[in-house]
Amino acid sequence: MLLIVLIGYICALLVPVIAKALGRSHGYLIALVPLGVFVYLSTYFNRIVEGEVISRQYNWVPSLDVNFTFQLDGLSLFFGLLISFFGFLIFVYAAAYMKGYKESDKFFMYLLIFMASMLGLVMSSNLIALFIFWELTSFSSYLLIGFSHNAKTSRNAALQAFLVTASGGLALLAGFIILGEVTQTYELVEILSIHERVIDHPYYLAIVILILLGAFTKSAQFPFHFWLPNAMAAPTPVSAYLHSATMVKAGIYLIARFNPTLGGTEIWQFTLMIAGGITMLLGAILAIQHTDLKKILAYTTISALGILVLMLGAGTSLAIQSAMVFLLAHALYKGALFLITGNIDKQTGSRDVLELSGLYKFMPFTGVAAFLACFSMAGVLPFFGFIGKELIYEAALHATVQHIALLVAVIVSGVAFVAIAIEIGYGLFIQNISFSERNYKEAPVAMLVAPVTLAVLGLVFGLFAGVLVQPLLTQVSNVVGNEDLPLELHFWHGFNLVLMLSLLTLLLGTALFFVRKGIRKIPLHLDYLYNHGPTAWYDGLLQLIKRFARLQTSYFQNGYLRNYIAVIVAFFSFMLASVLWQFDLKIFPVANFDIDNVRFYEVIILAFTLVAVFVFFKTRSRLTSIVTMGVVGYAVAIIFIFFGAPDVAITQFLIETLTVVLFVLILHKLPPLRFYPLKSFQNGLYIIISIGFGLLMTSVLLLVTEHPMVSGLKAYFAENTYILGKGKNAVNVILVDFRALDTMGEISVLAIAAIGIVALLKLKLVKGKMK
Amino acid sequence: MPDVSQMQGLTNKLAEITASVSSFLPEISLAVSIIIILIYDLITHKRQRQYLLLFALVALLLTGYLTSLQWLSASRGAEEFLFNDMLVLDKASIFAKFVFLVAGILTILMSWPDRAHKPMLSIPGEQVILLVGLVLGTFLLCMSVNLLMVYLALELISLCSYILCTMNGDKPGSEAGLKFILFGAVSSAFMLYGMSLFYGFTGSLHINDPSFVAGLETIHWLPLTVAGLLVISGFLFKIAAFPFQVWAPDVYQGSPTPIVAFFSVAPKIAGLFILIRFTNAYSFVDLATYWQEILAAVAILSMTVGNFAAIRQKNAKRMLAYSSIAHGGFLLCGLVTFTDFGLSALLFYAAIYVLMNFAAFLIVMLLEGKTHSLEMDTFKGLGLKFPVLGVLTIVAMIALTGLPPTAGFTAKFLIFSSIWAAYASSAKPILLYLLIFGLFNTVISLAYYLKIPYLLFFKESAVTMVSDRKDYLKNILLVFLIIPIILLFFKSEWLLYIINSITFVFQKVHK
Repeated sequence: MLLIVLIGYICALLVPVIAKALGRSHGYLIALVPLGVFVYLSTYFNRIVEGEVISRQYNWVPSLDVNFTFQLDGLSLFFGLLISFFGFLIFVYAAAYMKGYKESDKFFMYLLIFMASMLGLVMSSNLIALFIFWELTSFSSYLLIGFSHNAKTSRNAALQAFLVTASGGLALLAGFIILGEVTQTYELVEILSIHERVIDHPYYLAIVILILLGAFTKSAQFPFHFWLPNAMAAPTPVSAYLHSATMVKAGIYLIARFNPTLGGTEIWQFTLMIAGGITMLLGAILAIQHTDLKKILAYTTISALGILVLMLGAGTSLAIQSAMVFLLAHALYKGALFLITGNIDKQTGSRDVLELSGLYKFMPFTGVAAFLACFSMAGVLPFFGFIGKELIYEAALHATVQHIALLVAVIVSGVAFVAIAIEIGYGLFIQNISFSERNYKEAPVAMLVAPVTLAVLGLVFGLFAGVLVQPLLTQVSNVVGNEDLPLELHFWHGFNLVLMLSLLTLLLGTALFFVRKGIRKIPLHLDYLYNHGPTAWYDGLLQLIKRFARLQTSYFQNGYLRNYIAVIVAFFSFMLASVLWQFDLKIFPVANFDIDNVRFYEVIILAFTLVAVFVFFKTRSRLTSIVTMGVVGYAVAIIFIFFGAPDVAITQFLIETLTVVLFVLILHKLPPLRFYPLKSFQNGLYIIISIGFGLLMTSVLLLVTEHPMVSGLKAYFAENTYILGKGKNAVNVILVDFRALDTMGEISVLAIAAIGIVALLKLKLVKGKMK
Repeated sequence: MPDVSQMQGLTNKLAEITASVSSFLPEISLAVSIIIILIYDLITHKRQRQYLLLFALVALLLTGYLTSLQWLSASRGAEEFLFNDMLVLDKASIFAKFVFLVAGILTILMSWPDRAHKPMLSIPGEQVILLVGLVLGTFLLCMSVNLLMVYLALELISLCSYILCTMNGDKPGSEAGLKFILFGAVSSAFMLYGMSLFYGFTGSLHINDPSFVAGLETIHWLPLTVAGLLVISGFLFKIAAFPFQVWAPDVYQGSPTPIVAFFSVAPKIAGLFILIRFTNAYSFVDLATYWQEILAAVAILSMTVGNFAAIRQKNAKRMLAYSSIAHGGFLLCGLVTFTDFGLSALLFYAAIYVLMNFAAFLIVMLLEGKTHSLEMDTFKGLGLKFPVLGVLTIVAMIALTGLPPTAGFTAKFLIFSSIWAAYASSAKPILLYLLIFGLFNTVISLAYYLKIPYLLFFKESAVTMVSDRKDYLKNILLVFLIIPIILLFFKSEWLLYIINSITFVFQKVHK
């Protein structure tokens, strides 16, 4: 089974070679790859229909339980056949369609990569492997949408589609990781066997939300639907294959696949029904509003995806069956319609329904295909679309919750579908409003094969549904519903309520067709929606990210050293404060203040320090600032003396003197000081940060003194200073005796540093000469 | 007069030092080669300088051989203390040494002069020496268990870095160098202050020593936290993690590209290593909980600050600088989990990070060679002109983002899994935030990593003058970097097998 997936990738790599050897017609040869996959998969048909599940495991990273486990059951086979069969037709079509394009070999390469990834996706039963194929489909879709990379719209659309679906993919990965931790396995089969544990788990909600985020972004559910119409910038074969028949259905596949594991709860049901319902209605309304044929089809696709999610959410076995039947019906007619659009676009140069009419005269074969597809879309009696629609109505009628609302919603979208079907079938091909002299040609044969096949299949499947479709779809529904239920597909059920509803839908749809122009004129305040809807959210989010990026860069990385130091100090204080906070300690332990002990001369020294600091801030001269800092240092040294540490004080005196001297020495080498006044806002910020840091360090010091430090060293030195070192001052003895070698080291370091400084001072730099 | 027992002690210590030498061969080989290269550089003519790189390469390969002997003889979980407990030799540090060696060798190969470019052979001997010095510094740092040794190794790295950064002698280099030194000095001062506090608390500098731990346990948590924060500022400076990341963009932009590639990888990983060792010594005092929170905050901020700043960059090297800040955050995530799994994930990430970051810098170098500019806008349309380079770029960028089918994905996947596993077992909310921010940042990084392939393939070329220089060596090198990135995705087991043979010995005290 690995072969089915790998063959696509291998052939993708070979495409440039084949293209070079065969020239323009290489597309037809490559079409044999999906055909081969289709034939190979068909050989499993009988076994799968009997309920067998074939699985094969290839070790990958067994230690992490990540393997390429492939499994072929009803659902996988159904999607696999769909993908490979469509793939074959699309490749044949594209071989003719892409003739005018440059680099068409790359196109087929991307398309093959996509197909292989899609096959891998539906056959993987290891979560991580599934995710990998999932992201690969997103990425190949990115390449395909952006194929006409000269157009800005298609570049932007490609990026948008990728950002939305890949972000959703990451949510999916997070969901999978959590699911994997909960169940201790990434194998779907094992997860299924313990799904009760998952549903009762506290993380269940998180898992559902994350996985559905992945599915909704991929399947263009509200509010993530906006990328799909934009993705129509891709060449038509891509739209037909990825954005109608297969890739967008990957989300549906995922929901269907996880229905037995995660389904059955209210959260699952209602999330799906609400998202699906909104998507369905929104897609239907927007489809009526548009006049670009591809946009119309995109919005009806969104609507159809909404129906599928809605039905999966309804969750009854009838609803699941109806969803799977409708999925197939939709793929057939929508694929055909997209390819027909491609033909029209190619031959007439227009996709606007207002500009096109009477095409049947010029393009009879395309026209026939269009009629058949439109009948199926409208749900006219013997067509497969009719069976799908009937089942959906029936499922809505028998839904466990909210069946009236469901039914109304489903019918509304059905009506819109009918109107659009008439618009395409009648409006475009038969109705004749002549604008000017026109002379169009029929599309070449290669571009007719695919749409005609698909459209005819819509009729054949409808007529012989019981024989051709029923066996596999029964298995599919069984897998999704996780129970064995018979599925019977007939186009004739007798005169019943559902049939009446179907007829009603047709009537209303026809009526809608005639008033459509009026409806298009009604300002639905769509501008408002566009300006404030999901597209605007997406743009807004991008803007927000950019603005945030600018803001944080200007804060944290503005090139000013002082700012960097402020950030570091602020971070340090924040960390300390948060630690203090967590331990629920008084930030400022006033109780430790012992005011009575403060002596008069200490206050004077402090006052000196404060004055020096104040002067430091106000001065504009380098010399003054150095001197004032020197005053602060000396004040500290005097404090040391007061508290009986003369040696430390001496060190402090020396260092302060040395620093001041050094500063003064290099002062005359520096260029004149230019003073940049700070904005008052910045100034205030720095003052707050400084005071905050000061207060925090003070409180830390006070807190620390509350807890005497017990250290063995103190006792050791107190005991042994006189005995071993023969000295009375412990500090002196430590310096010259216990740590004599260290002191020597320090002296040598200082000496070396001094020599270095002397060398630098003696160095005479000549301008323009570094060496 | 020293008495006999003292003499005995001294003799013992000397004997131990002599015994340690045999386990110190890789470092000795590096040190000796520094001296040889220095002398050779002094006594030869400029023309013969090209052999300097060859010398350095041979030295690193020899060191690699010696290190692999160490790996083979080291048994699982064993640790050997060298030079009176200054250094520790365990499998983890040998693994890290391999990583540094690979980085060093790649740096040398990247700076290898092209045949067509003879007059440009301007790599001064000092640069080669300092590079080998850097490798030596990272070697020592990842083995250090004594705070004094930590400081020395860290400063060895820092000093070599400062000089390498300003080597060009131009204005951006000098400005970057000055910022680098100032920050390095400040953070080193912080660190030294913290270390001296630790010495005061415990009377020991040996962070793996029971007496060190025992000493810490008697100290109140507040001074411990302050001291701990002070010490890690030195490490965070090396990792270029928030808030010590500010030097990175200027330094990356101002330094020669091969050197930057090394900066972005080896000191970062060495800094992480010492942070792991230090944290482990420190964390079994009652502080683990909020120590974890502090490091998690650092990780989150590093990822966010790095990624968001990278979005806005127009210069490829600056963009990679910010991206490597973000990767530092991701690497920290593995540590923050405080689990064995997390540390394995970190090691895996580190190994892959070396490959993909070097690949990214190599690509930048190759593109710069074509357009003579580092502005990303000039890369427009180059992917169509040079399809192979373009495809390799896509793979490298996808790997940096962390998407399949590259080992970058496996690395991110391991990190995320380890965070979640830690969260599931401890239910600490900070770990959940870490996971959310990690995923969120992956999305953000998507935007700017994809910008390069987007420009390469989707935009029409704006520059007509594209130099047709053939960089065979660099192209081959790039291919050899990309192959393992893809291979280790399919066969991540190979690397995991090696990593799983490493137990973090310094965790033993923990349990």
